[in-house]
Formats: sequence, C-alpha cells, structure tokens
Amino acid sequence: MYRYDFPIFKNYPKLIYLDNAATSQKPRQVIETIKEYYEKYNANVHRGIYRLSELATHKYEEARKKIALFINAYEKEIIFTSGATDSLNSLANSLSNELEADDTIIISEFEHHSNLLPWQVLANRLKLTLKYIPVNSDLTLNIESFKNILNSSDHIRIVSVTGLSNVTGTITPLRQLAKLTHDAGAIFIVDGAQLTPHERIDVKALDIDFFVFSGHKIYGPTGIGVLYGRQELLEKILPFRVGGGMIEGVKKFSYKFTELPYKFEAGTPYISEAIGLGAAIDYINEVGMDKIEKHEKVLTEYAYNKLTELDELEFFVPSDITKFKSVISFNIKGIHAHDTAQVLDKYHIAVRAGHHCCQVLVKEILKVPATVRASFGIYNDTNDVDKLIDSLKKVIMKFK
Amino acid sequence: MTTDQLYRQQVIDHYKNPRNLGVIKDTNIKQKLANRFCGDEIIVYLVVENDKLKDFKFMPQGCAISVAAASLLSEKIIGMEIKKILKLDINFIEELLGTKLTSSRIKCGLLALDAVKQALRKYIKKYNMT
Repeated sequence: MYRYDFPIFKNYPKLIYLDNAATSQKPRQVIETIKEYYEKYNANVHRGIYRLSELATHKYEEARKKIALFINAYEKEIIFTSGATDSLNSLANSLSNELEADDTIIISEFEHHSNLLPWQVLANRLKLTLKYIPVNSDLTLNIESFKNILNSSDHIRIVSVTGLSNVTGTITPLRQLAKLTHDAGAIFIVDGAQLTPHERIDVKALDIDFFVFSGHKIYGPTGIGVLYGRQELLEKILPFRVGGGMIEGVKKFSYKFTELPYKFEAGTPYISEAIGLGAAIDYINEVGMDKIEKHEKVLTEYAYNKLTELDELEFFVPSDITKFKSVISFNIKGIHAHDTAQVLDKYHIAVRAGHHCCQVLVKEILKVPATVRASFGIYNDTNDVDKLIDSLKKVIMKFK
Repeated sequence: MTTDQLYRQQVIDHYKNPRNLGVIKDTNIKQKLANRFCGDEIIVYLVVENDKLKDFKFMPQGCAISVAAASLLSEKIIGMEIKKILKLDINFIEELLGTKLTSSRIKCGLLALDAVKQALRKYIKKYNMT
C-alpha cells in the first residue's frame, strides 16, 4: 500500500526490492524537499545575514530538531555526519584522546565492519585490548559471556554493539547491555544503522551514551547520518574535525571551540541532505513507527514461515522468531549465494549476496562464504514474499 | 548479458561436472587464489614441459561462474604455450562462457585464469625463463 509513495516503483513497476538493509527507497516528499531546497532557499547556513540564509538555517536546524525528537535527545546532542560509518569513525577518533594503553574495548561478533574496523585500528594504534562478545549457536548474543568478560577485564572503557544484526536480524537487548556496561564504568555505544528503520528508539530510556544511524537506510538521502552523544560526554571530548563554524575565537596560536552541537560540525554542513532526512522522519511519523513495526513483524513471520517450507533452504537466523526481525539470511543448499541472487535478478527481485561487510560473523561464526539476504521495508508486502518463493523454486529447478 | 545466457545449459553442466577436477600430487607449480569479495576460492595445479602446459587440474570452491569458467578454461589451455596463456584475458573467458559478464561477476569469471597466470609467472621467475 505504501508502494505508491515511492516514485521508483512507478518507474520500475516489476521491482521487488528486498535489499533494505543495504539502502532504502525514497518517498516522493523526501525527493521533493531536496529539490525544493535547491530551487527555493539554497544558501549556506549560520553565516549569512540575508533572508535566504536565515531560511536555510531555520530549515537545517528544524531538521536537527526533528531527529532529536525522533530518538528522544536534546538538539545539542545531535551531530550531523555523512552516515553511520562516518559517525563511528569520527567518534573513535574523538574518543582516542581519552584512551591509553591497556584500556579495554568490547564489541561483538555480530559487528559490521563499520563498527569493527575503527576499534580494531584504534586498539592497534594505542595498544588497547579488544574483546568480543560471542554469538551463541542459536545466533543470539551471549550475555553470560559478556558478564564474564566484564568481570575479568581491566580498564573497560567502551562497549560498542549493533542494535540489530544486518545478517541474522538478531535483536540486541540494549537496555540490559547498557546497564551491565555502566555498572562496569564504561560508555555504551550503539550502531543503530540497521535498527533505526525498524523500531522506535529512545536513547534516554535505553540509557545509551552514543548512538549512530544513517539517513539512507531510513528513507532519507545518502550522504547524511547522525551521531547522538550524551551532552556531558560531548562537552568533555575533543572534536574529530576542526575548521570553520566550530570556534568561538581564533588567534594565530590559540583557539576556543564553540558550544554544542556546532563544536562537532566543522565546515559547511550536509545541508540539503539533513533537510531531506528531516522529510524522511516526517514521513515515518505520518505513517507511524508503531505501524511500521507491526507491519514488518507480520511480514517477517510470514516470510520465515513460507521460506522454511522449502526444504532446499538453510537459514542463518535465530531459531526463536521473537529474537529477530526484518532481515532473513539464507542459502539454497549447494548453490552459491551469488548464483541465487543473480538468477533472482531475472525475476526483478533485489536481494544481497555475500558476507554483508561482516566477515567475522559470516566466515568465522556462520562458517559459510556468503549468504543471500532478504530485508524488509515499509513498501514490502506478502506479494513480494510470494514472488520471492516462486522465484527461489525456479532457481532450484535451474540448478537441479 | 541475460541470466538465461549466463546460466545456459553448458555453463550449468560445467559447474556440476567440472572437467579436469582434482589435484596433481607431484608438481611444484600450484597456486591458491581467493576472491575476498564473494568467497570464491580455487587451487590450480600445473605441469609445464617444453614451454607448454602439459597437464592441469583444479580444486574449486565457489559460485557457478567461477567453477564453470575454470572447467571451460581447462579444456582449452592444456597443450597451449605458456606465452599464449599469459596473454589470455576476460574476453577469452567471456567467449568460453558465451556471454559478457557484469562488473560484479568479472572476478568470478577470471578467478581460474588469474590463478593460472600467477602460478606461471612465479614459475618463470624461479627458473629465469624468458
């Protein structure tokens, strides 16, 4: 039903788009909003006195406000970046000034390379200890092991985990992990890139210290992301990028950084992209996040039930259906994921095949070279799933 | 390239029944190559005599395109001059497969050939051949 809000389906009516974990399609109002910015009020922000700049500034800051409300944060705690990967790299950069040798960082075996590489690189550079929360054989996170790691490690400074696995769809129990992390005296970082499209986030209720997500995964444009940071922490740490727009004053040999959030937004911001993201948030709020959650829950269950009817498939999701959502990884036994995905393309079905930027998870834990991944968004429905099933049967026949 | 062209009967046949599958135990010309992007892997075994490829076997692990390309290649290169093998490229592979490859599958198609060329270059270097 929501399909008609997205122009791409008018231009490519046969498209069965099941790769939302990679990126989402855009509703008309997001596309129009960006076009409108460039046509009607394009100007640099925070700097101009003329009315056009004031209007651009107002719209940009309005977008920030929308995002703050969306995740229940203060506006000064919302920093715009170019995406979740940028947010995590930038955050690691800023936090590097607070760390010293033998400090411990804990991540999980689920992590996407964007929440793995920054900490690995940092650990190598500063001689830190990096530890992994293991994944259970039922593809849930091993909380008992996490507790053991916390009890047996020194100088735990950071715990950084995904909110939702982009491979297995496993939901992370964030509130529980936040409490354990804080009891151990560390800060709690959440990679929300996969979770944010599928669930209402309340960073205060979940007691999260830093939260990141990408605009392009939640029906917004590419080139925009968010880094939320708890105010007290953002005030303490050094910015990751310096330049224009983030200083109170500069002399030849001294400088003073300005207030939040601008301290972390050097240079011309991602103005049109942020405004576009604001329009995406508006769209989600109009539909209602609770409706989206419900729709995807029903769809995931339907898809999983239908897919598991095919004996030729093997699955990489938790056995308990309440423990995952919106993402289903699988393979046709004996057929390489790339071949499956290639043949599905013949039937205009877009799925992803590979290790999904999670080599540790896919190769070392799941122990396969690649999986096929179907991931759902607001415009997917049971028809899409039925077409996927039919086409998978055709793939199986082709390789028999 | 259509999917039907890519996965036509001949390709599927070479995928399911690869020719020259196996190992050559007593050769020192072998090479393992992996396509980190998608998880395809291959080990190739070569025997060179009088500047020609006398024997060739391979052990594949990967997608249909990489296996079929390796199998089709194996049928052509046994008996070929090494100099000629080193000049083969994606066009040759696409001819064997009977279709052009999309950019995301080119590495799959080239895996076996790249492994063979790497093995031969090391061999040439070791024995200072020209």
